[in-house]
Amino acid sequence: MRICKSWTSAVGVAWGAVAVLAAMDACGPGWTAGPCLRYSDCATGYTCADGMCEPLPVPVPDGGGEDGSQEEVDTGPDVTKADAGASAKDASHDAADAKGATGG
Amino acid sequence: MRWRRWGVPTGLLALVALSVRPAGAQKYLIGASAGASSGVEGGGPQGTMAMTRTRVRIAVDARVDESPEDLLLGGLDAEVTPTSGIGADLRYGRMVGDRVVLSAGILGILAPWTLYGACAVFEYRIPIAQRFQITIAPEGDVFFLGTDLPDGTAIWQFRLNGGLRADL
Repeated sequence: MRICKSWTSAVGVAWGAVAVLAAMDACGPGWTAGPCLRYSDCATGYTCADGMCEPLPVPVPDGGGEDGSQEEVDTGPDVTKADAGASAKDASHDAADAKGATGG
Repeated sequence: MRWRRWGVPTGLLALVALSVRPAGAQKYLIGASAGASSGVEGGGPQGTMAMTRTRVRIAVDARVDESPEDLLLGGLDAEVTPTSGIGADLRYGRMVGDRVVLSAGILGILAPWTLYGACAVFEYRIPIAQRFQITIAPEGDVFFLGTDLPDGTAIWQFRLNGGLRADL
C-alpha cells in the first residue's frame, strides 16, 4: 500500500514536470518562418535551408510554367505552326502559279 | 537415422546450456526511472540557438551486485512538444559514490524522422524514501546523422532532466 502511494506520488510529480515543460515550450516563439535546426522545426509547406524555414517551391502544373523544359515543350507546337504556315504559303504559291499558267 | 547422428549431440548441448545458472552470489540490481527534460540547443550554419523540445524518458538500469559501480542503462524517449517524436537510448554508466552516476552512450529519435547521436549525462540522486530517489541530471547531446538534419548540420543540446527513480 505504501509502495502504491509512493508510485502514485511519483507519477503525479512526473506529469507535473511534463506539464510545466510543455507550457514553457508552448509559450516559445513559433518556428514557421523563423530559424530552424531540423526539417521538422518548420511547419508543413516549409523546409529548413541555411538555418531558416523557407517556403517549399510551389509545384508547377503540367502545361504551364517558366522553366527551360517547358519552353522546349512550347517550341514544339510553334515549329509545327511555322511548318504549317510554310506549307500553306507553299500551297498559296502553287495556287498562284497555277492561276498564272491558266491566265497566261 | 540422421536425427540420431545430430539429435543426440544437439540435445546434450541444449541440456548443458539450460543447466547453466548464474552463480549463486551474483544478483542483478534493477532500477526504473521516469523523467522529463528541456534545455537549449544550437548548431547549424547560422549558429542558431533556441529552446529544445521537451523530452520524456522512461528508463531501466541494471547492474550486478559483484560490480555495482557499472551500470547499463536503456530508455525510451518521446519528444512531446512542440513536435512529437519517439526514440531510444542505450548508455554505459559508472557510479561515483552513492548518489552520482556518470553515463554516456548513443541516442536516437526513430520516428517520424530520424536523428542519431551521442549523449553524456551527469545524474545526481536525492533519496526520498528507502527505494526512491529524485533525479536531477544535466545532459549533453550531439546529433550528427538522420533524415531530420539538413546537410552539413550538427545539433548540440544541453538539457536538464528531472525525474524519479525506484530500485525494483
